[in-house]
Amino acid sequence: MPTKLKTDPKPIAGSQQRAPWINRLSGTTKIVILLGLSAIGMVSYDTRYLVLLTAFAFIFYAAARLKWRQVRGLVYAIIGFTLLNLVLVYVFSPHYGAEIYGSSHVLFGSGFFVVTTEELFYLLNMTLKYIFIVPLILAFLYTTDPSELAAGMNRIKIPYKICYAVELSLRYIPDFMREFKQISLAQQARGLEISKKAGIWQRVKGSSQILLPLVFSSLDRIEVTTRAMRLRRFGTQKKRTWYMSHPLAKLDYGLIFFTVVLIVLGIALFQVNGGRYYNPFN
Amino acid sequence: MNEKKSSRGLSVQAVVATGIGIAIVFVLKRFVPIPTGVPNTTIDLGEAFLTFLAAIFGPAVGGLTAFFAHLFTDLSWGDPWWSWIIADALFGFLIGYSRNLLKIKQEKLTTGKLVKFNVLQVVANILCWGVLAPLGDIWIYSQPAGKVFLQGVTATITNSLAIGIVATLLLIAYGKTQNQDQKLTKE
Repeated sequence: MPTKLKTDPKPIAGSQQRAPWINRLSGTTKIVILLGLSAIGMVSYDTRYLVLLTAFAFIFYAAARLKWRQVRGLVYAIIGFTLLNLVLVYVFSPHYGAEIYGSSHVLFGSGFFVVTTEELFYLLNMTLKYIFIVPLILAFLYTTDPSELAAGMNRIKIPYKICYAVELSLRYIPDFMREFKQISLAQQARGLEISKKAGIWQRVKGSSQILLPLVFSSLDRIEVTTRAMRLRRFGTQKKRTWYMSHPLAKLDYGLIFFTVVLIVLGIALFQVNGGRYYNPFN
Repeated sequence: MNEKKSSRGLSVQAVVATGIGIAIVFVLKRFVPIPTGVPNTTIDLGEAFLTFLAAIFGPAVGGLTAFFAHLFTDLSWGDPWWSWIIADALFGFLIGYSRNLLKIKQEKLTTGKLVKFNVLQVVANILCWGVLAPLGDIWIYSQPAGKVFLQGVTATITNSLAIGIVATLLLIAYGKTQNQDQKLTKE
């Protein structure tokens, strides 16, 4: 578990002015790349294509110049998740790969848990699908400003009220993290055990007791913020402008174009492969 | 809280409730998960708060909050898992209709209403986590059925329990702050 993150709101709301071109990217570009690649990578099971996407994602990771210390915890957690999922998939259906690829080359073992090349290949593809977008997301998490994100969302025609809600949430996440911690410490000082030492039931009970003050303070905050925004006549116009919005540069257009090319390539591969799977066993 | 002129799109209050809702659900999902033993499946107080919020502010707030909170949680782990994000959004949207059932701001909260609310939340949980999320995993991600249904069923049970206990308690506590005068006549 990335303990460092618990006190550090940076990964979500932080923007560090170090990386050169990736920081100049518009929020719109980042959203388009993220959604586009995530969608096509979700569907495709072509190993070569997924490797290509991973390489593309690593360009952004390199540009963000993150320190290993910053991402270490997350990377370990992701490796842990992925391994657990792989084991679970294998345990539940060791023959799924053979089913998909329509052949079965036994490597070793026998009976239900026989290990086939097809199953290993399927698991490799699944791992790629789990991790291909991670470098991209890590890069964007550390280089995107919340307001810029909202402006970017609005540019791709998402209603501005939704964009504003998202911006509000990013603004409030560090606040609520702090508040949650304070309430949690206060309750623990009164003898409430919510750490790993307590049983599940104790932890659920303890956590709900933290929830109550948090919920009521948040409801108050909804009232206060609503009044303040109404006073400023929020939501009376059809459109709104964004301070952080700036026109797309050549680099933005270039990257969006390249993303579209990648997506078209992915769709073309469905035709070539005759489906979502790339089958090297034929 | 409806104004005459702000009929277009979300009301100001809905915007703020969504924003603050996303932030709290995110914090709860990200930092207070209690593991169940099944990978990527946790007892989730975020869902309980989401349900509570949706029951007060309705389907639009519920759906949007669920969608973005789940998306941000997944992004903060580096990996958006769309089938579950969509299932969550649908859950938030469906459970938002309990607002019409509870009418917590106008009427007294009765045991009967709470029972109906819990029936609705269990049905919505079964539909979203027990059926839609696993089917999405199979169709979109092409994962083996056994594994995703194990995750789905675990999520259904833990969410139903977390919501049944925590969200119900939150609603009772919130109900007491509304309509205080009516409450006095009870019993």
